[in-house]
Amino acid sequence: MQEEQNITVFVKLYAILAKYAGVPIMHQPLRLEIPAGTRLLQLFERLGIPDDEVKTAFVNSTMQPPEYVLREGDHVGIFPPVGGGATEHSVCGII
Amino acid sequence: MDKILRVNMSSQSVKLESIPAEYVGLGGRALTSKIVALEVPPLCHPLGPENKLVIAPGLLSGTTAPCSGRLSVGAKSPLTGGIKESNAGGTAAQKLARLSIAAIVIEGQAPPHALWNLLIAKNKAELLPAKNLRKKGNYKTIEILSKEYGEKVSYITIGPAGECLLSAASVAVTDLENRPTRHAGRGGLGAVMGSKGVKAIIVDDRGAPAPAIKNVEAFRQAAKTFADALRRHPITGTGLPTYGTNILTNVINESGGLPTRNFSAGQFEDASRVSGEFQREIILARGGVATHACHRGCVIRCSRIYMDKNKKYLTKGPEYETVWANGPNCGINDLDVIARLDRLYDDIGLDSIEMGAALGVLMQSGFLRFGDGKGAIKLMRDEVGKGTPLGRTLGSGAAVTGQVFGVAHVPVVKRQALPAYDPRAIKGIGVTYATSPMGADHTAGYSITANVLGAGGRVDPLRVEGQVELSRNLQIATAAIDSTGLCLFVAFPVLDDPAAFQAIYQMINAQYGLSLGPDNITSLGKAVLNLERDFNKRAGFAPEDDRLPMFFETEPLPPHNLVFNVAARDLDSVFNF
Repeated sequence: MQEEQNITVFVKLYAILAKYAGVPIMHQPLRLEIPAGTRLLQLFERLGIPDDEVKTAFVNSTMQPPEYVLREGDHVGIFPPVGGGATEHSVCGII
Repeated sequence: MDKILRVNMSSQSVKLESIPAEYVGLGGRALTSKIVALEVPPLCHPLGPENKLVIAPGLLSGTTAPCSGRLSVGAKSPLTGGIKESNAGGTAAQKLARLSIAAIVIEGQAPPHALWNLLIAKNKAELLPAKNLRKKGNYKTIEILSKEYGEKVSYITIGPAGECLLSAASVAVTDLENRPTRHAGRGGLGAVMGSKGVKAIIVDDRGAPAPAIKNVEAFRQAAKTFADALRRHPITGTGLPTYGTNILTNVINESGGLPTRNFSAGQFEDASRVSGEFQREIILARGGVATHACHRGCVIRCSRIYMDKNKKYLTKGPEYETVWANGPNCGINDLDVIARLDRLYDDIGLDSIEMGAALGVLMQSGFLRFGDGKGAIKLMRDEVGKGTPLGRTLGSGAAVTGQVFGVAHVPVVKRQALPAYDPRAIKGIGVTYATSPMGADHTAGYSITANVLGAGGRVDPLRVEGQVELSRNLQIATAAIDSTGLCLFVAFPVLDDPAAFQAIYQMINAQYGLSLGPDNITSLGKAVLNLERDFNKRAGFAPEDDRLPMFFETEPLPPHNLVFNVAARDLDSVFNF
């Protein structure tokens, strides 16, 4: 039996999402112990954030999709939909 | 809008004339740039009698079109030496449109030390002596003028910086509370107004009718569709009304593209202390206003009202660009300091981006310590506000400040300071900074949409691929939007929602009885850019001016440790359309 490894990640929740950390605004990141192999999607679940409330997640300053597998020491910043809408449409479509 | 108001300051004569054929059907930036291109000698001195200050509402101004209160101001820029259009919100554009004025053209030059007010009302336009306003701040100027003309008119004014002819001087426009908080900030247009000898323009539209609409029902339908699209979109419907433009501080900081301490890093350790979320907390705790419109008929309402610690009015909610330039860019982490600077800039009449960038360069020189908010306030109040030699240096912008203080690390293109996004971490905006005829300008082709916010598709901000096309398309679309009088923020739903884009030309068609389609909008944008680039070429600009300062190509920016690497030949292909 291999013992399940845990990793440490640092998470910041922005705008209306701060409420899932129990604060109105976050100045310091949460330090979380999570199982190795955890995906961003599972991190949202663990924090109790409904899927439709997440728009963008940065990991170490780079935008990552929900399938991204977290690594030891990752810094995660999660934003609600303050960004754009339809991804299938593009500016090139109007010009 | 079928009239041009010509104001000749050499003879102090004012003439209302029918709009000449070559200017018919244009508004906003399309009109200011056309008049500057046709009437201003490209090699003239920007502060000389040959330059002209052009002030124009947009095609939809004065109607019930949502978010249609932008005012365009144009001239040859004292800062860049090229053509300039800078626009502002506030109440003036709608009133000018109701008075049927397509543009005010201020030309010639008053004798030295003469100062005038221009009063525009229904069936009346005249110049009146303004000696009592000499060197008065914008707030005092409005207070004095309001005693005579009331609070229901619009005031377009300059502060001491404009009178001192400083290259970072702005043109102020009053908001719905009759405060001088909305500024055409970029490019030193306040100095052009000052050089003409004009202190204030009073726009009184009492008794003037709303602009005629050819097809009222079609207009109403399109305006409703447009308002619905603005309310539906997450940025214009939720993000901007809740947190204001400063919602961006945390987003851009997370992306690693928030220029910190004069563009030496892409993340600021205290970003959350100056963020839109924190600003909202402060505003609400002190009884300010957290969601506020800068003009009638705005459904986004991204503006706010900021109180000081004693719950007394201090300034508007500082915008993201102001917060960045005078916060992270200077190592300052105190929103109250930034708000105090914002108030000073509005009062003295200065571009808050250019001034924050100048402070960052000054701090780099060691004359002032990074993070010294008190020192920054003192410099603005006692030096720039009073026009001392040191104040004149700073008030001439980042390039002059860098030259005088011997700094090599100066973030400017065409002598205009870069705004709040580092081009090494967000490469699309670097293409816009480098190539826009305006000098470094984020609004000219706001690639942050697709690079960071996921509006209008997605283009990876860290890679070169797709950036030139993104910037090109946005620069074309923006030149068109800037001509309608619509606020640029309508671009968010327009990029994502075909119905919103359609509604824009449907509103224009319904108002003027036209049958424009998407191709006409694109053609308009291209025509404006071609006109502006042609003026700059005749003013001496070459492809080598469409470049970022070299340090962006040689100094990697943490945390991504990347440089700006869009090739020169690709930059030179931006306007191949």
